[in-house]
Amino acid sequence: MNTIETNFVLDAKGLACPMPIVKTKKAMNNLEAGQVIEIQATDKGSKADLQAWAKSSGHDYLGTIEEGDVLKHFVRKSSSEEAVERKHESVTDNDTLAGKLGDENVVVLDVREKAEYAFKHIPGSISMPFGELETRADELNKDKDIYVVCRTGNRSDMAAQLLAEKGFTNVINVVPGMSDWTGDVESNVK
Amino acid sequence: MSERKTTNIILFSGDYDKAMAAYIIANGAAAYDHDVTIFHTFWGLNALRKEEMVPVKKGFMEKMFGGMMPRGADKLGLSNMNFMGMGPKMIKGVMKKHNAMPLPDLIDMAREQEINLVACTMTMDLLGLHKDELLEEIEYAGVAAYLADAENGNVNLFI
Repeated sequence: MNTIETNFVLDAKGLACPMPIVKTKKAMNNLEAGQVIEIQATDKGSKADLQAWAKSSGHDYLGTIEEGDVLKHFVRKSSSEEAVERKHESVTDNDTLAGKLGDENVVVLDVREKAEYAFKHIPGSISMPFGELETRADELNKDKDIYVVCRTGNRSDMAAQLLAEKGFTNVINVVPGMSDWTGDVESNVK
Repeated sequence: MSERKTTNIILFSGDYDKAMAAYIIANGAAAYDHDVTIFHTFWGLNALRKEEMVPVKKGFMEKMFGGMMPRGADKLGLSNMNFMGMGPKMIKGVMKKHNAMPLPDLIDMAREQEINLVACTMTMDLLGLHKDELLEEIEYAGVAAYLADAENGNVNLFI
């Protein structure tokens, strides 16, 4: 069965409303922006509750996996990424990337967290969370055109800069990225 | 971050189930980062009573009231199917089975989440309840304090 790597797993199994939300809020306070939490609950209402709560508090609800009676919810803590200035020069939009999929010289690099990737990603894209890029960049082929995607275009901007520093020359930041992606998607979870 | 939203609940009823609903909503609202106030008036004050007998000087009517009203959240009856006290026993068994939090725990959780628990002083006088008989560290106020919170509130409930 799927296990998705997260920063924190909260066990709220057996707890009734309103405890899953109350516990999630407490756990969220201890996380850093951008980190992902998995909430395991058996309360059937927790899915709707968590979706609504995440929306209202600005966090990013990624999805839910049902395993028997246990609901596993994934939420990414909101970060201030909406505000930063982008620096990487080579930029393109979602539609341009959509037109290039299938080209064998094109590599789509997804730098979001593993849980975000698991629920929805562009078919054939490579998952390399931004935090791992420093050590894993060598796995990428410098001769290919690397299109970097994230949710809104900011993490991918930082990733593109990092790759450029490492000597990659054909790196393009895709803006906005998955938050507005209308093309084909694949999911690792049911 | 926008300004914090507020939830204001008037707990008028002294029924276990109604108080439970009020406290569940309050705890949920606190998790929503609302500033939450529960304003206890009339029978709702009984949810804030200490379980033990507190010796205070009272007149005859006040003593009568004090003796007849439930002492503390765990002693409240149900609004429906109370059956002379059998109802609450039954529902507490069912709640345990479903892992729902009993009312006293919900009140503890509310305090932990820094929900403002307010006792209405006017009705305290009417029912002959003294501060010593109510839980520690709650606030005391009247209608103006409630309105000040409620006029800009986002959620307002009367339970």
